[in-house]
Amino acid sequence: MAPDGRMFQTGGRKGELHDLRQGLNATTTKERKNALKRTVAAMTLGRDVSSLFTDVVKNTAGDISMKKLVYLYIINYAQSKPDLSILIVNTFIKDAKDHNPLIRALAIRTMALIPLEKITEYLCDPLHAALHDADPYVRKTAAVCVAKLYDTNPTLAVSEGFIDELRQLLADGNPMTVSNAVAALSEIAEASNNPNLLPLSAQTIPRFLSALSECTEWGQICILDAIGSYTPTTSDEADQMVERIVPRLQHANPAVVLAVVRVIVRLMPLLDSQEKRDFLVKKMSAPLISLLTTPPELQFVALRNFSLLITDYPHLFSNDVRAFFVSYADPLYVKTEKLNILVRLTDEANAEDVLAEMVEYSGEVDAQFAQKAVASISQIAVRLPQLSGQCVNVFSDILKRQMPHITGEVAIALKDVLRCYPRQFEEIVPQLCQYSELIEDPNAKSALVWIIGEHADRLPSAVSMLNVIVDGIHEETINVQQQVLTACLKAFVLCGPEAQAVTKRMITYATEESESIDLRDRGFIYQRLLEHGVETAQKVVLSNKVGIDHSQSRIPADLSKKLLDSLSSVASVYHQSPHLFQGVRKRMPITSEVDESMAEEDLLGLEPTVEEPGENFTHPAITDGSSSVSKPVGDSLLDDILGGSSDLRALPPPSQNKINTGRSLSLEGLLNPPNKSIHSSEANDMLLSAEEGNGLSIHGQLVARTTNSLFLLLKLHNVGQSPTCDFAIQLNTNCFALKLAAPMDNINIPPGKSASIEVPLHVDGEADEAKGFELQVAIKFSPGGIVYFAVDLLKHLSVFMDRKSGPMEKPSYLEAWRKVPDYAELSTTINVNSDMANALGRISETFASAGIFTVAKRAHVKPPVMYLSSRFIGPLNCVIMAELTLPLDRGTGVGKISSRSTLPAEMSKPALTRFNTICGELLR
Amino acid sequence: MGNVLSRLIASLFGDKEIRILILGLDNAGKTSILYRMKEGTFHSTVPTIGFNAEQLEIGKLKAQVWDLGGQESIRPYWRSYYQEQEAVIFVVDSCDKDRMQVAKRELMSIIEEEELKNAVVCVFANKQDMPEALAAAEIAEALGLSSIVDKKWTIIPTSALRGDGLKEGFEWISEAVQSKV
Repeated sequence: MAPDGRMFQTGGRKGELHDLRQGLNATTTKERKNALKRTVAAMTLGRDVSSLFTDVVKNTAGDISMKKLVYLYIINYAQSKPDLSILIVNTFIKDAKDHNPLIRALAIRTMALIPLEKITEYLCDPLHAALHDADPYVRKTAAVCVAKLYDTNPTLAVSEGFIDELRQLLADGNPMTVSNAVAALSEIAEASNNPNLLPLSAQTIPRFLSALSECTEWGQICILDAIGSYTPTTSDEADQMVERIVPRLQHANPAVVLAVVRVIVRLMPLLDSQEKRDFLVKKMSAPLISLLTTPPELQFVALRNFSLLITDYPHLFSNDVRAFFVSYADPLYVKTEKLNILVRLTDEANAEDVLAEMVEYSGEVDAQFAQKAVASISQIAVRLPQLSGQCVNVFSDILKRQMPHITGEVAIALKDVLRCYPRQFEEIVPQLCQYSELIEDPNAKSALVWIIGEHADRLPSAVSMLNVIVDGIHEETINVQQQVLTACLKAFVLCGPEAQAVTKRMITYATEESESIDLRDRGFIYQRLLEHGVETAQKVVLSNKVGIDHSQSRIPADLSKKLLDSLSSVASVYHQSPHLFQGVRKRMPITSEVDESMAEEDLLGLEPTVEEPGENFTHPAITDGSSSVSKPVGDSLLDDILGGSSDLRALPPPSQNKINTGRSLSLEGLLNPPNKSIHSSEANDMLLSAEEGNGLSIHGQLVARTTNSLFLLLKLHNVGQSPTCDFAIQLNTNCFALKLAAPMDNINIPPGKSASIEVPLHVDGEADEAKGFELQVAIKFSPGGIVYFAVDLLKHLSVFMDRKSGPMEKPSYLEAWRKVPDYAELSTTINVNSDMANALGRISETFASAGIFTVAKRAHVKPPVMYLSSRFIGPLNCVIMAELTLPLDRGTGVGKISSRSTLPAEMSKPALTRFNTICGELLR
Repeated sequence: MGNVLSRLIASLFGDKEIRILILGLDNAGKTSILYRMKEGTFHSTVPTIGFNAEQLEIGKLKAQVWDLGGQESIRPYWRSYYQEQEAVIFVVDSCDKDRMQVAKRELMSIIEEEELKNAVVCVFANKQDMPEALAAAEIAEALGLSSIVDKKWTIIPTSALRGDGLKEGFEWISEAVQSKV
């Protein structure tokens, strides 16, 4: 037989699917197996072989290798073939009773992986059996499947008692089963926001701990994760726990090591004896240091976690500083992290070694790293005063090398040191100035200028240097210019008349030539300061400096604590609060309505969670751009607003200016009935009577088609004696910036007949709010001349609500809401349909299909409140915001809607009145 | 090449595997028949959601037998199994007089199926152990079997519970299929 690798070669032949189908239906097992392999290979390559579903499914009767292939295929395609998936159910049920435990587990696992209701309803019985299977392999697989089932259908998982069964598995004799049960329960606990799901107590913990030593590394991590959230009540208990997990520090898997460290760090404060704590710190250091021999990516993770650890345990690595010395082959991100840690590990004992290393690094060709090394030296100097002298000496050495990128960085570094220890290391300043021509970088230049200004009285060349810089001031960046201005003033204050000329030049430049407002302002302030006398100026520019904060960590203490608790997680690598990352895994049933999810939470014995406006929140209807078409709930309601039938929205986008003369209308009506309904029922508002219209009566209205495309539907009826022709249409400017998308086609209406036209509109014209909600239309035709009529846009307000925009961002919503004065709010009481009153999800959906989106909702406050936003299409760029208070009890059914808009005052009131009416209609 | 050769050898040694489809309304006894044949004992089964597939040996002949679920929701998918089937066993619940017409309709649509035009049809009048069961002849009448002209067919009274008639049925199929080749 061909080697399996060939299965993956892309054939791309025309009849590939046909070949596969033949193969899958072949008479011999060998052929079928081969075809199955090819099918799965094609699937993994991304080719669509879903059409072979039934053919593949037929092969489940084969041996275990074929079953595996078929199941692999099913997992991939079941969701796209939900109807056909039912065909596999019997096979699953049979396989779940197979005598081979591998097959039993395989069947359960595959079934749980298919998120289809049809499958899950048959999953329960086999899953119950599997959780009590005699074979541990099946039990451990089943444990994970419960978590999967919970993911697909939480209600079912709870009502069938799987959670309790899972808890029973915690006492299982098999360590793998225990660890999987722990993992599954932890995951369900997280998804359901119920941390008490996993029973952690003095009774259960020893059981987990004994499973710990026997299960796989991933199982160990799960268990360690779980027991990490348990706080022992006594020091002895903590001691015992530590005792049991310390041996795991020797594990080869870095994740296990870090997980152990996390638990130890949590337990450490609970231990009574200091001796024990010191012992543990020592115990941890070697395994942690060994993580630095892993690949760079892992090293990076380890190093990020270390920097958290050394905040609380500064002596953790005190004997291993050398381990953090950068090696030539390290990637930059590892080097940078190592430097960060080195800075914090440096003390008097190892200073010499570390500084020597730093000097070494500053000579590296990699500029970024070399600069980082220089910055690190200044950090050491700032942090440890006793080492500052040593550090300045090091800078002096580095300066002598005359490397441009480093010299600039030294200036920046020295600025910090000199600021931190004023008047201590002035001898380095002239040396730095000696190499000033090497400094190009604006930041470095600013630093240099600052140093010159501060030390103008001790630096003989200060004034001449300033002169040189002021000569070329035009070419400097604004930051440097500001720094020069301040430095000049300092020089003037310190050196007196000598610096007068340069100061004057600089102030003149700042106040008269510069285009920067900031610089000019500063110039004027200095000028006035000087007018007050030199002493005043001195007080301002040479005031005492605010000290440099040399605390060891930039992470706030409370965050640092949280991060330590979540060691070896994404949060601890990014040094960001853990809750920022939790949303990724949290999956709640999207389609379930509020009633349902509440019931489910009650079952779990949960406190109902209140969804605050600040919480993450997904709206089911927004995910689907065409939701207004497919959502059955909103359909009829939407029809009321649009005044059309649902057929309308099912139509393909109409061609531009579709015109039907009287005769072809009837013809088209016959051929295409839905179209007829548009013309008969849609264009039904009398816009212009025959008298005013010179023999032409006009009915019509505005409609929105599937997306945001707008049409003006007009029905023109010629009541005159002669045929009309040469039509042209023109729109006046209007508040929604409506514009013709195309000129009107030429039509000819015989006497006594009528024609329906659709005029496509754009909203990219100019918004003219002066006209209010009126669209003025002019139609020219012969022989009638020009007739005018107006369309009430307020009546068609719903047409302009953007169905694609989605809800407003919460912050901008709040901001916009507050901007509108309270008196401009319009409140209306509305009757709410008792079916909808408690189904916030349904209301959201209905509203979304009408272009009103839910920004936030509070389902659990009494009465429930929803915050809505609706944006208008086009350049008007206006938003209506509303607070919908639902009736407290279903019986009365009276709710309230309070809305605000960003429209101009005179337009706001009518718009809000209409908006509230629309909302009322939607809720009825 | 290898495939051709192995097929040749298989045909020489009579190792050919034929394919049999068991169809019928729900609760007719399809799955029970299959497992009676396979294991020789009677199993009361749960409704088949999907299908069962087993290898059977009828004398020298090997057969791949598909038993498809009879639920109305599954019937539309029967046709995905028609390809290359040599025989169809249509199982009728002899006691279910009310649904005889439904059974007839399903059977006729199977008969007219293009993909099954070379298949032989064996109707099993199952549940003959029940006192109220109709006789095979009555069922043949009710299903209008006599109208089938372009296919080899027969009707055999069976009982999956007692095992009566099944062997005969499969033997008939075996002969009918082999004589056709």
